[in-house]
Amino acid sequence: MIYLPLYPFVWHTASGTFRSSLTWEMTLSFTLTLAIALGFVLLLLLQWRDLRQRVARPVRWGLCLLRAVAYLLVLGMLLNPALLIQKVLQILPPLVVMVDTSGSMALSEPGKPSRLQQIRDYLRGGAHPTLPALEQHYQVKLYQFDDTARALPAERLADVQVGGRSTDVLGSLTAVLEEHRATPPVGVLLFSDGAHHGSDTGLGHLRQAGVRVVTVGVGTPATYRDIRIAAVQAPTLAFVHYPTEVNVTLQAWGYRGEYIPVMLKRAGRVVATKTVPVTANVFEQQVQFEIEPEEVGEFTYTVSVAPHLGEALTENNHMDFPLSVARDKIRVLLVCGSPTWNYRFLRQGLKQDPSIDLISFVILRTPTDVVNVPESQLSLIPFPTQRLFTQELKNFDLIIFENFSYQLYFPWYYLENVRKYVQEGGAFAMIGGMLAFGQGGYAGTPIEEILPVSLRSDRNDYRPGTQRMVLTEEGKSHPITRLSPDASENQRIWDMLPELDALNVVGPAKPGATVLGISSGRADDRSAAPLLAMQRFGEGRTLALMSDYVWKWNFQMAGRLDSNQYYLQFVRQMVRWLIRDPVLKQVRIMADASEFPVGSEVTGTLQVLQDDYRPAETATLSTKLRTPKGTEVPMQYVPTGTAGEYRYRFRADEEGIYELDVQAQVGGKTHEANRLLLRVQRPGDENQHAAPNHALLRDIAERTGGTFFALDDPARPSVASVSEFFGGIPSYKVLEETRLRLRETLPLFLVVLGVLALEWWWRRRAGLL
Amino acid sequence: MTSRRAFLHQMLHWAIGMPAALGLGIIRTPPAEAMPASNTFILAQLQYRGGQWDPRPRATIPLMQEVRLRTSVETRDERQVLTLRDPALFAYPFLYMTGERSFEPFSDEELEILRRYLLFGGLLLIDDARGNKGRDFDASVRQEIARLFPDRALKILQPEHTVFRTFYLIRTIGGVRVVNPYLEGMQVEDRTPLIYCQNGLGAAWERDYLGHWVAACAPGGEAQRLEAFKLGVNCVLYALTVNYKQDLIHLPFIRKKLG
Repeated sequence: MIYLPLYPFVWHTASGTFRSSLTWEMTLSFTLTLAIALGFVLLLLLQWRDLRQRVARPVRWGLCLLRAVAYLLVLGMLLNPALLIQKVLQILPPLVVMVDTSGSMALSEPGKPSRLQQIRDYLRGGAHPTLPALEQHYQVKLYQFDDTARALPAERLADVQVGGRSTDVLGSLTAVLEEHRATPPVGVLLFSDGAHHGSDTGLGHLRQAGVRVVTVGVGTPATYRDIRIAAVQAPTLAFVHYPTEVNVTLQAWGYRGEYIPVMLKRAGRVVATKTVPVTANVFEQQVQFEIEPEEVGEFTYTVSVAPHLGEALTENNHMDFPLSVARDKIRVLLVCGSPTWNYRFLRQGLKQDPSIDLISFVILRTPTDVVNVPESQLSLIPFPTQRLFTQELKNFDLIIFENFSYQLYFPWYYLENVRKYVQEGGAFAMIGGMLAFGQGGYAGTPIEEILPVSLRSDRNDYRPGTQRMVLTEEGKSHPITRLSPDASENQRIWDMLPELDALNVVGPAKPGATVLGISSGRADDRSAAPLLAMQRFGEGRTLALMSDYVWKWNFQMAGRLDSNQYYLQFVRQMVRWLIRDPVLKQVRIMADASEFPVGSEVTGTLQVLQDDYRPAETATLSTKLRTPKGTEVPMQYVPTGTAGEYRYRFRADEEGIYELDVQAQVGGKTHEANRLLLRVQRPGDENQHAAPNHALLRDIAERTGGTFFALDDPARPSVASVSEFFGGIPSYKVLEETRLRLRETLPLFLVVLGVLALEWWWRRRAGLL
Repeated sequence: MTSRRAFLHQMLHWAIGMPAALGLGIIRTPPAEAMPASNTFILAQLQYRGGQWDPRPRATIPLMQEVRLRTSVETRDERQVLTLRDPALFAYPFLYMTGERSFEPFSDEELEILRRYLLFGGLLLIDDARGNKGRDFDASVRQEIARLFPDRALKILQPEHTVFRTFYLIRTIGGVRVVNPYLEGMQVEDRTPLIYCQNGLGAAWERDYLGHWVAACAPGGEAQRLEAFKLGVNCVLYALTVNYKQDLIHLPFIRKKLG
């Protein structure tokens, strides 16, 4: 069957829309039909030849014409024509209209309504609103979008509010086109300011959708004014006294020719300022700061620019960032009275630790040693005691006297400097030998005051003798002597370590001190002598190790085909505890995430340990929570049921950095956690970056074969032009259908009869019949 | 045997106490202090199979005395003789090995022990008492070192090596003879745990029971002997301090003295 539609035979009535078309239901084969047609042509030719001699030319033409018409009609009837009359539903082509309703659309230029209102006015307002005009030719599908697109009922256009936290123009457009993949629209009319915060990866694929996008830009880039701190690149960790670079990305619109001071602040105090000349209307530049932190801790820094006149947004004029400042390498001063194996392996243990910067002085020659060559042939250097023990002390994190007696080298009042150094937060350790403790002449000196053990006054405290170090109850769980997290494994290790061959016998441990290890032997018929003890003194810590044979834990363990790692671990843990490594603090604050959105609940865990580093069964906590605006707010915490563990929560309603400090009273002592800085930020960029970006809209239009115009352009195209641009023809859905076979109808038959009759009559007139 | 320090202390007490005693008519007896042996440096000598492991039994005593006299290190005169299988080997991180003739190769187990000894912090000073290059003791030593560290080779220690500046600033290698004007060593990371000298250090150190030198040093005479002692002292201090003299604080002083 051949179908031959007769367009535009469409008509509308009160009962609906109708469409007619003609069909040919051929019942004869094409070959036969062709043969008949050729036969008719032959007959016609014969008639023409026949009439050439008999009638005048006009008559001949008339008769042949009538015959031809008759033949055509017969042929037509042989083709079985049918008239198809359909009642149809006219379906207009779809047109997508997308309206940006992100936060930036609330902005307005002076003397103008907001960006969104301008779009509303264009679509619905004025003498010739655009939307109704488009609805006459298209099935308009209205969408609103910000970071996602969603359908918008047309009647709600007047009420829709801005609210999106960020804008993803490309993502929203791609999603809408994907939604209409089965029935592609004739085009997309997209209204936006172009302030796009999403990814640009969809841009290259728009052409493949095959749908033209007409983009309409709102907002005026030329008159937009804003200054923005776009990004701050800073390390999260810096080191004391080490320069740290902070790179700031500054953006500016509409401030060409002006100078913008950019400030770097810490706790509200300006640390550095740089003034940037703005050289273009749309301007971006990296600004570099260098800071050298002077103290260890957690700090909040702020990069900010003062609000300028006419700025569209001021929320983006500052950006906070946290900075954790730690000590770099641990600076250790090791002073040794005589090179021994204990010194050799202790030095190895300290040197092998890459986080330790070791300065050591070993007395290679005493005043009583006999020199047999000129000084120029000796590699000896002066022992700079005056400089070390007056000026340089504070530069060390830990001072170790290993088998060292001060008496031949500097006056006792230098020891007072050491005491003061520890009182103010330094760390000190004394390791035994013939020249240590009482035999080193330290009884009654400031060193005895800071040591965790008292000293014998008889200066005869060095005792050879084989013994092991036995851990006390405190020593079994203390970070210094816990060589394995498993208690039984830890005990096994300590039982395995080689025996020591000498001991410095000292007095009892001081009241505030903790003895971690005792001798397995008996000295002077007394109770077990302390071998390893430590205490807190003022802000600092001290340790006493009463043997110079600890090196055997290294070399002899290696000789047993076992590991020397336990010795190295012991040295490492001893140093870390002495310098108050933050990892070993007794109060710890942990957060469940590194960032939280504004308005969410911030949660985390507090952990409190006793002095022996076991979880504290009882502790009194005090917390201090400071908001980004500097106000202190209460914070709730509840025990979890596990000893020493608490859960905290608070609501973060402000954007910025919250500071959390926790103190715990454990056994009468106060311990502090490292301050925790929590970043709370508002998700989305609408309040950060709202500059109109018509270049992106133009790009979208170009790639899709569309066009762009600015809404406030006086020469913007009319609605008719837009419709013409999109084009599109309606489609129809058939509701009812009526088929009329024409050869079965009287009129056609009568027409054929009438033609033949007319010819007959003319032939008679012409005298042919 | 009373140490030299104890002796001096006693002399000091007597020097102070005597005039007072005379003045008061009282003789004060010095206190009977017994200074126990502390973390005293004890040289261990390696006994091995075959060859002649102890050609100069008294050679190390003068060296220990020299170390005690010149430096702050306390030493014991008597050596400790050990084999590689001795359980007490790792109580003595300094090992001295000498000989004149070729010796029986170490077993694999002994090599493993020695390797472990050197890698974990020990030092081996090998002293060729005969000095025949490529033969006898030297041949055996080089063969065993090649088995000990197949992927490393003995190298000549450069003049700026730490062992030449741990106490004395050494520019020449002493010994009873000058077979090599250099030392050789095996480097492991930043240490040289094996040092080899072919100049007969022990023979230069050795005294007889009357205190006379046993062997004459040629061609340099007593100056050459002094260099041998200096090298011995430096090796002991190198074992005890390792790269201490490479610390930055020492370098300007050393450079200045070396010119």
